[in-house]
Amino acid sequence: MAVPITLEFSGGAELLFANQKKHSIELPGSQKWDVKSLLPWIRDNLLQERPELFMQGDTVRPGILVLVNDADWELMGELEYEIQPNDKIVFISTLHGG
Amino acid sequence: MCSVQEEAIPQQLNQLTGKLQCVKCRRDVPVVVTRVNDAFCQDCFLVYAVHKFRSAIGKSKVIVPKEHVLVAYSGGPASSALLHFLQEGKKEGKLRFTVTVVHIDELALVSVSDKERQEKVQEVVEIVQQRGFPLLLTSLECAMDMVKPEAGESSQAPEMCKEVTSEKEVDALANPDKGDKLKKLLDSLPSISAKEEFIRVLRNQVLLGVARERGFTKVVVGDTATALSVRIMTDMAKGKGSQVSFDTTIGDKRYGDVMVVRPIRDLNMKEVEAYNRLQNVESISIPHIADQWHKSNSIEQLTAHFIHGLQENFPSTVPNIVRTSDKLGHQDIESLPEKCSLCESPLDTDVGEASALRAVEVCERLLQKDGASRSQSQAAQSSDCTQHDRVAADNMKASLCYGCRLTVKGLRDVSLLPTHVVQKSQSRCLSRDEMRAQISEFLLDDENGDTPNS
Repeated sequence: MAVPITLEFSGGAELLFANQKKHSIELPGSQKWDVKSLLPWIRDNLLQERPELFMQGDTVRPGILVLVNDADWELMGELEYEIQPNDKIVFISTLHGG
Repeated sequence: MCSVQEEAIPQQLNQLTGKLQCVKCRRDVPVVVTRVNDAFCQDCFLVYAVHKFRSAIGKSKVIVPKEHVLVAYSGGPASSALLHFLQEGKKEGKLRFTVTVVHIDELALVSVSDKERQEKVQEVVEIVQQRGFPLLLTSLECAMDMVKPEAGESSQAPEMCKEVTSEKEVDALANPDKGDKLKKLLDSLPSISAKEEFIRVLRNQVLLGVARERGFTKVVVGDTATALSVRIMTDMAKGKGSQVSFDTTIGDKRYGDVMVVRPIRDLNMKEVEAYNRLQNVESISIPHIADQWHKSNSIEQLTAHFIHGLQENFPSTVPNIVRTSDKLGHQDIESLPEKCSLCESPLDTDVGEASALRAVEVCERLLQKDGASRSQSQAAQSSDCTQHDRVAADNMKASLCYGCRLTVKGLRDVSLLPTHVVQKSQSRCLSRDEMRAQISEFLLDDENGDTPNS
């Protein structure tokens, strides 16, 4: 059973995803998805360029803020958070300054 | 690089995960984690962010009531949040000063079409008008030709900026000639670190220029704590250590007539982004020249990467760096009349004989001598030209602070620098010569050997 979720990239992170901010996707397969397995999936399926600006090791690059359903992912268990259908996950890059 | 990321770091996560209460009101579900382990709910976080902004202005007393200030707006998240804070303050009637916004169009450096450039400027105009503040537009290349108007002839000087009154009237202050000049100058700077530093200095010059032209005495900028901590470490690495305390205070008085104010220096980038998200504050992603350089790293980019990496696991990194620089004092500005012709910071090069700066200079001279003897034959061919250039270069160097010397080091032709910088260095040199001529009869002859020979 596929899991439908919404991904959003902003603060400059969208530049790595062909300048598209919102992505509605379906995670394939019947296994359970968590953020830890979502990140490499994004890298392999959505990311257009420069993976090193998005991921570092098995987590996001320092300076990218992650929100799960508008709450800081630190409150949700970070990589261990188990993705539910219709979740909204937002990646905001804070590296651009301003 | 320090291997911060690889080290085993004690996990603090477990304390946070599943926290159901805001630390402040102990009632609502938290959405943002800030500082070390403080989880705030939406309402409490917004109160906290606004409070930080307002108390920074209130406590420091740098802006007096009824003053008219210039606010620098780039379109990025930090200055977008700054505008939102100001707008909210105005709505509640708590803003005790009036605001004019200035936007510097920097797209001359990036290869975009005129249409695209226009569209980006249009976006900026829309946001600022939405916030209800008057807007001035200017462009980065203006800094290439900023001749200070002499008293009385100010009307002849071309205006640096212009007001935007209606949405249709937007055509950017693009100036292809100056833009090309600027590009040529940047191309001739040898390193990316130097280019970045130079752009930063120019941007600052444009802000000061606009403020002076329009008679503002305060320029408000959206420097966050994160940006400042990167700035501090980068400055140290680039030989601008003497300017660190100016770069980070809430009221930067180094320019004398114009003060730079940093009201969101207590907020870090994460807090700014969270604020923008919760308040639906729009920001514009404007293509930046640094994006084109991403493959080769600059001092600033590496420093930023390092600090972001540390901050991830040690959330007190940024406040620690900023607080430490707060404790640094600086010399009284009035006692240092001479300023760098490029960045307008007090000159830090008037130091004793037994100093690191002199040692560096001696080493450079020795290296040059060595190189010169080898390429003597080549030099002889174009000696007239190089002689003249060298004098100009030496004069220029003498009028720059140590950090700016490093920035323009490797620049072959100093006449490429902005006109006002060249003029300043020349007039400085002239006034020195005049002074020397005036007092020449009282001077002891150098030939007597009373100057130590290095």
